[in-house]
Amino acid sequence: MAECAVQLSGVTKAFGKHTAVRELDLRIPTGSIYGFIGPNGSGKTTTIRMILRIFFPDKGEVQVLGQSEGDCADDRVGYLPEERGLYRRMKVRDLLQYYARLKGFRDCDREINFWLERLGATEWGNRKIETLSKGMTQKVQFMAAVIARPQLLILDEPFSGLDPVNLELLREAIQEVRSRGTTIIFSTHEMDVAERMCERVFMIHNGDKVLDGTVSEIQQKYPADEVKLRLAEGSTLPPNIPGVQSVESRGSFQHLKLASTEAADGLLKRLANETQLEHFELLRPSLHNIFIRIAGPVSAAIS
Amino acid sequence: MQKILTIARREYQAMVATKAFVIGIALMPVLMLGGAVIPGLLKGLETAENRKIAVIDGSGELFEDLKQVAEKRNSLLKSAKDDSKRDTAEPEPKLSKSEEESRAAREAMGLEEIHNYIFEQVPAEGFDDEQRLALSERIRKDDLYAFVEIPDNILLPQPIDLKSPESIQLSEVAYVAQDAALSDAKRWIEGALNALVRRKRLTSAGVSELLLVELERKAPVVGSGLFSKDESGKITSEEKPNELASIFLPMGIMMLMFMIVMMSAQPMLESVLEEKTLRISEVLLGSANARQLMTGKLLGNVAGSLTVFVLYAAGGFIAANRQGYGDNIPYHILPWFIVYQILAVLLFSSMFMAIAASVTQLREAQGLLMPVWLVMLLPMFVWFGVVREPNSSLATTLSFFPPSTPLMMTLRLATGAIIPAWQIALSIVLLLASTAFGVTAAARIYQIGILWQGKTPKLTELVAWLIRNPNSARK
Repeated sequence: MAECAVQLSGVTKAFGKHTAVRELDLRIPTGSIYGFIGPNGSGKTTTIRMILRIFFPDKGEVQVLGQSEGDCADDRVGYLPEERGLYRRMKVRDLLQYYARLKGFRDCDREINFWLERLGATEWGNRKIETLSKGMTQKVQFMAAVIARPQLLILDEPFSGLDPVNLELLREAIQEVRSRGTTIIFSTHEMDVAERMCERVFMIHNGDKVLDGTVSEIQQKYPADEVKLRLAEGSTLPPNIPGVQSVESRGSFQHLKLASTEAADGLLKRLANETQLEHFELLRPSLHNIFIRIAGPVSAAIS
Repeated sequence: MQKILTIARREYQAMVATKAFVIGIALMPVLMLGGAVIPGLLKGLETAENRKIAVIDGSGELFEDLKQVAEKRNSLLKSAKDDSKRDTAEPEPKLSKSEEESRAAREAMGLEEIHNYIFEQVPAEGFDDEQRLALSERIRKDDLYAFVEIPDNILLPQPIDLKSPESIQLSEVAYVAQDAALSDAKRWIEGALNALVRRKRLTSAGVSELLLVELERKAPVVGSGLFSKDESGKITSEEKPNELASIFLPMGIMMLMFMIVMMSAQPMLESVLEEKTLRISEVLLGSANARQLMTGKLLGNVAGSLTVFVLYAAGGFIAANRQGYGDNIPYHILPWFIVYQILAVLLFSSMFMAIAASVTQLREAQGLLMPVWLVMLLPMFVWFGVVREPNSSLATTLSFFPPSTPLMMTLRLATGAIIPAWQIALSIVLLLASTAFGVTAAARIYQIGILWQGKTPKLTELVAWLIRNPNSARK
């Protein structure tokens, strides 16, 4: 098996005057869960469509599962588009069979039974999609993407609209698919999901790659500049502490934004002396904050 | 190939195995026939009124006779109504020749309208505008239906001056009513009155009516089929063509073609639109390329259309045989029908496909569909003329205009007239070429449009998609 499931080298794709993806290099190791993050219109979907060979790059090469040719996605690639993507008037079982056959997987009944049972949907097999709840539909979509046992699975916002129980069920299912050796590309806006699920994260913004690496690698590039603390009852935070830019209360905790990581030492000493400190934690920037920093309104205005 | 067949199979099932399809199959002929049957049914619901008509008889000799004719008509009307009541109770009998004739006779008597005419006389002497106003007021109050003024010199006209054609006519009779222009009563009075005037004038000229009838006897001209030699060497003419069948059968066959194309193209529109708006096309394009997808969909669609054809043809065959029109079924057009049908379905379904791919809502599609429907419906506007003259230049020209070729050629072939073989060949070649062009053009628009989200492209943009290399949007 190739070392990389997906390899993009120097890929550029433009639509008219708008460049959707610029000089993109990306290597997705076989067997990994790779998060694609980025705001709407950043070039995420275009990248995914190039991997699916719905679009072809203007420049550069897209290699998927060792293939760089072809005018449609390999049968070994499964895809779950963001919401929808299902015929509303088809029965669940018929639809799964259809999507499996389109991938050339004809003897699919066992696989269908397995997934219906695995996701607690056995009794839904003969119901039409339009009669299902949103969460149920989401599960059917997931099944449709994995039904032909793909080697590469592309999931676009798989968790949107799921309640915590079903979310956990689906998360386990994704891990199970992965344990079979399937490489998973995971596109999402929800940074905590990406942080929890993905080993590596790739972020695209305005067509440019801005982040690529493991979550901790990325976090290390950004200074820890936030402190989460809790004071004992009756104790208050002294006003105007040098190095603290802003204070925000969240539940019983207070979040302090610092000018720099170095300011944390002085802050801890001072609070230890002047207040009754119960909790003090220097937070590494969350993916969410990094995302906002890159794609937030300020950077958008600059770019 | 396997993928194309998988797609075709689903498309076929989506088209055929739905309640809408079954209902459509059952309802379509009902709706189409409804246009012919419903007015008749509604007429049956109408109740007969006594329509009072005042007559100002200037001649002084016509009123009594006119009144008698009207009374005779009223009594005939009553018996006809009783007849039709009896008719509907029985299973619909095939109209025999004599029944057909008696129906024609009833129509000639003005029995198409169901109302009774009751005549009342108004003295002609001193009849002036004041009285005209008074009678008009009565009509407005619904106390009177109409009034008729017969001029005094109607039986003693001016001598004819051959140089002035107007002088050949008798003096005008005025008919005054609210619906004077379209009135059935006016038409009936014109016929009845002139018959009376003629009889009176014949008598005064000393010609007996019998003599006139004797002198005016007519030779009927009866239509017959062509003569041919059978196996035993006997020369016989084909059966006398049934006029009703020779007019309505071709029309029915053309309608069948139209229904089949409509029932195929419409689901295609909906299916592509569903795939586009629900982003199913993205999943599909992740499994098959646009060419495979389109080919599969069209194949499934054509198979669906053939199913419609088989169902309707079988139904039509059974119905025609039961009604005794079995001999009129033009079996010779069957292979042509299928060829034209397949090409027509490909052409129109691919157009509908392209339209659906380039819009985001059904509502937007309607505007683009309008011109397509219009060119397709062209033969519907001229069918009657074409049935009477299947080889007229209008019919020939429309046969070579590809969007109307399928309907026009089936119509012409169904008349049983001899259509030159080169015309059939040329029409198929032209249709084939334009279908190939249409499918290619649709494929280009489809490929780009199917992933196009957001605003509907302008017509100029669509043309740009057509001209552009289909892969440039993807490559």
